[in-house]
Amino acid sequence: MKTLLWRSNIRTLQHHPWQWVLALFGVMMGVAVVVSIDLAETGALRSFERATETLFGRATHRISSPFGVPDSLYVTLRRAGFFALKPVLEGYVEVEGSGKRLKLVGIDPLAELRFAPPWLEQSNAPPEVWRRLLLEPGAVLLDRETGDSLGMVPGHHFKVWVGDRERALILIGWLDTGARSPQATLIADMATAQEALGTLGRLSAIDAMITSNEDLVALKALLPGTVELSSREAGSVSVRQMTDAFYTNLTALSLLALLVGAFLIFNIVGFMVVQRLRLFGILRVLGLTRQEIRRQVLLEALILGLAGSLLGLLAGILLGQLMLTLLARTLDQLYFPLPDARLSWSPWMLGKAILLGLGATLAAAWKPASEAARVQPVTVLIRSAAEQRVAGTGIWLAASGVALLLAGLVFLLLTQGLEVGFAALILMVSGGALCVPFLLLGIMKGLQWLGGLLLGAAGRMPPRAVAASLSRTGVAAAALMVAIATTIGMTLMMHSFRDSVEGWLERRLDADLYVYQPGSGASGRAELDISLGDCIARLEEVAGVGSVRYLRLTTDRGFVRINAYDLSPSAFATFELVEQAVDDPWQAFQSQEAVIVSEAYARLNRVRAGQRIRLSTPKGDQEFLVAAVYVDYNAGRGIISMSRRTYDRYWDDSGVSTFWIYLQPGSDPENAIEKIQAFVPGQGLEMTDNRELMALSMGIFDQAFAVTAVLRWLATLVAFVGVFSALLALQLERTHELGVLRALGLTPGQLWRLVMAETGLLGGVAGLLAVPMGVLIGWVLTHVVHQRAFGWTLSFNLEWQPLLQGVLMALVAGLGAGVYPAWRMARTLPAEALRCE
Amino acid sequence: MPVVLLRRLAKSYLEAGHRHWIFQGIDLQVNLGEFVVLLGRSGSGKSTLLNLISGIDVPDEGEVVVCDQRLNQLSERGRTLFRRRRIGFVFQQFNLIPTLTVLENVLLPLELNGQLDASSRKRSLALMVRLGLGKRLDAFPDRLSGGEQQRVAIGRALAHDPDLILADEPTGNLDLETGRDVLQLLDQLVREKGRTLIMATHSQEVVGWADRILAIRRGRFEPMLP
Repeated sequence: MKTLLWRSNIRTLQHHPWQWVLALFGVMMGVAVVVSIDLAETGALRSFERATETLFGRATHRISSPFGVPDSLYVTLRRAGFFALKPVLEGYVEVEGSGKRLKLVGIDPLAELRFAPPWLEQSNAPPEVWRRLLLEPGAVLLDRETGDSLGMVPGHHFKVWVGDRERALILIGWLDTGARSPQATLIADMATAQEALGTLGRLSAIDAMITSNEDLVALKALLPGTVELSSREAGSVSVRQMTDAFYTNLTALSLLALLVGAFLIFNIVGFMVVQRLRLFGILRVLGLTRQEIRRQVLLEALILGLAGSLLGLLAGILLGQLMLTLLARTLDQLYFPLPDARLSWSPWMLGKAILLGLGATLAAAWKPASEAARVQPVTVLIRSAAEQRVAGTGIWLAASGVALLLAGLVFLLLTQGLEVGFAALILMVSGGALCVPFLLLGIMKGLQWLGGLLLGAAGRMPPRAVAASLSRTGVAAAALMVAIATTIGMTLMMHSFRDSVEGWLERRLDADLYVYQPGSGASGRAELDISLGDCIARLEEVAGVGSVRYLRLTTDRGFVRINAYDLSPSAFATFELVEQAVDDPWQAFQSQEAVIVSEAYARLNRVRAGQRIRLSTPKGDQEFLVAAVYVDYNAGRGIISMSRRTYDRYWDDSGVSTFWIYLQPGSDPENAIEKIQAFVPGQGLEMTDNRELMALSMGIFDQAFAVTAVLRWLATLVAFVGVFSALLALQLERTHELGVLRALGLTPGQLWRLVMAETGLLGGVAGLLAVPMGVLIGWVLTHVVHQRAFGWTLSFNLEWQPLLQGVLMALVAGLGAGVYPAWRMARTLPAEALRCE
Repeated sequence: MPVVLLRRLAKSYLEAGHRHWIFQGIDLQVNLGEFVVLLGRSGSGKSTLLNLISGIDVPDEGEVVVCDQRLNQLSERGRTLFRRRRIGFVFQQFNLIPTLTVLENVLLPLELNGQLDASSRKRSLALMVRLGLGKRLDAFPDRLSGGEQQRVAIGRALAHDPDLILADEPTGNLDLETGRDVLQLLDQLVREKGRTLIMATHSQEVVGWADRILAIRRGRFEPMLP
């Protein structure tokens, strides 16, 4: 660009620094949100992969079973000539006093060496430490960072809780293997770990190094039916598949924040173009070509985008740390623990963020730049021509907006993909934005008539001013509408989701008491014996007992969760069936040949009611009829539910994960609890009533939505700043016009009222227009996006509070934006204001 | 030697569904070094004619030739670049760039044409001194009086030494005395450089300066004696 034009632009910037600062804020926040989510997601995934790699070493396969593996199998396999094996024992303990959850891993150092896991290979622990680890009861190693955070030093005696049991351990040294050491993980000798976790004689799994297909076949032949052999990749693939939708959803929501940011850029750049129409007109007369003007505007936007993206990158890294903490907590609750979650970035990721910021800026600036390039030299002095053109094109814009809305809707109905769903949503939001200038003009004309009727000229002026500057107010109102609608939509979605989960839990948690035993497994439950149910059922306080056994099968296609229920017809009725293939699903469920599957399972595995699925059971592969598909909001890859009778037929397992109890009317739950506890003395059962369990579940839900909640607040913040900046810009740009009014005799008080009425009107109307769009966004996020991401059917709750909040936010921002210009104008001499162009 | 040639020029506007003809089939030749005044009432088409000559607007029919270049044969971009190099403008509203200083406003056409160097800068400074603005070079337009602003506009119109200067009511916003000063300066400078000046005005004051006066009435030229 020419030097003098540059200089002119820089001076424009100096005259209106707040405009650029707010535009920068828009780009920065949009990019920061995307970067933070990207960093947090990648950090979480890398952390998982690091943990896997650190502990797996060279293992190629894992031998496991939902019930653990007897350590006799390890001996058997070694005797059969498979020496490249190592026993694996993993569980979770809680450090007394700190509440910190650590992973406890039992190892056989000699077997471990063969697998050369990075943490062991790089360890510089002296031989004495290894000797003590093998021989000293309760001896453990820990990474220095975690140890420091717990205030531990080698030689420190401490206690851990495993369920309700307390165990004494001693820290004998640091792992000290640099960046590759497993974080927040206690390493113990196998015997110590088994003793601490209460799993004497059992292992979590056996890792194997299999190099040939023959060995694989031979090994498979030696495994009992209850034991599965899965490749190392299967675990990673499973985790990826399981969390894919979760991440996609977060990424899409963060992109929605960027979209809001892009609309703000569109508003600011558009505003600055309209503000300089006269200047562009003069430059066109002086010989600047259309292309040069377009280039000038785009270059300005590019610089804005680049600066905003770089700032966004920095802010994103800071925000990413918060997001990662929240994400790690969410993943811990929903999927798997992440003890070592660190931010992780690559040059590509950072480059991508800058490209995204620049792309959004350029896309947003393209239309205003083209508008600037279209400025006719002949119309240099006719601003009203621009206004008339905007007013005239309003109907066409609205027509294209409706077309986009319909196209988005058709897109939504005809496609299935999650990404396509979001694309359709963006199409609809853009369509809605295009309708705004036309609607704004209509509303202002109506208000002009009404204001005139009620207040005379004073009532007509504010709406007339908004309508007369449609080239500016139309764009601002469209941007505000999108910003507010996005926050309304996200709030409606979150509330609908919460209400759906609450309703589901209320329906499903119909028993009075729930009995389980906290354990060391990742699910946090230890197994109870099925015979305990019979004992409970005989109590006089008890009217009925049901039970469920949770089972997670690892296959080469990923995890499959099986719930085996022993329940009454009335408890079965609490399952909300969304699809059924038989007239009597209860009969089918009890028939031992049929299962019911959760919506998530049906969607991820493309299964419908009436189809058959094949399951690998200890008694060989079995086919089951999918009798029905039911509503379930558990995270993961879905659930296959079968009756206990079916389960018992194929699995040789007498374990139960949870019993639920219906009490006799009028009986005292405390009595029942005491009696149940007496059946298993010293076992420390956990017994909660449905209210407590519901509160616990909703707590987990809220935790799971922590990241989304932060995203919503960020979008709200961007929206608020957007509303504020757009209206502030509009008013400050009217300095000359307001100066004329002051010169004509408008008192400072009248000026205050005029300015506040205009900004309040525009903010309020944008807020009102955001209501239907917000409802649409909320509906699409609730009904379509969650369905496509997780397979969950949610009921959409149209609450009035988020709608009112949105309108009020727009109104408050509007009124707030009027304060400074009104104050400034009221204090400025009319002569000064008249000098301003 | 003709600098401007208009042949059978016609221009109309659509107003409320009716075609309103500004000109129909007019011809004009303006020669090198001539000072031509277009006289007419508001709305007579003076500004439209200047727009057509500068290529800002295009005729419905006929031909516009400026400095041997047929503007009809140029694209929009071509006409813009031609205007940039060969034409200088002076407006009633001054139309200075508010964010550039006096000197920068004058240097802008030179920079747009890629002619800004030490010697052209020196020439521009001399021109500004001539225009009586030697001490206001760093001032911004909003700090200048109307007469000063119009003198800056004259400096800007002449800085890149164009063949043709078009002035649209250059004294319309000025008082009589200031207007007279501005006209004198414009006349002097244009004649010194041997350039051609076409000025649109409704003011009879101007006629004394012109070589030729063309009154525009009902879309036709009516020659008048200076």
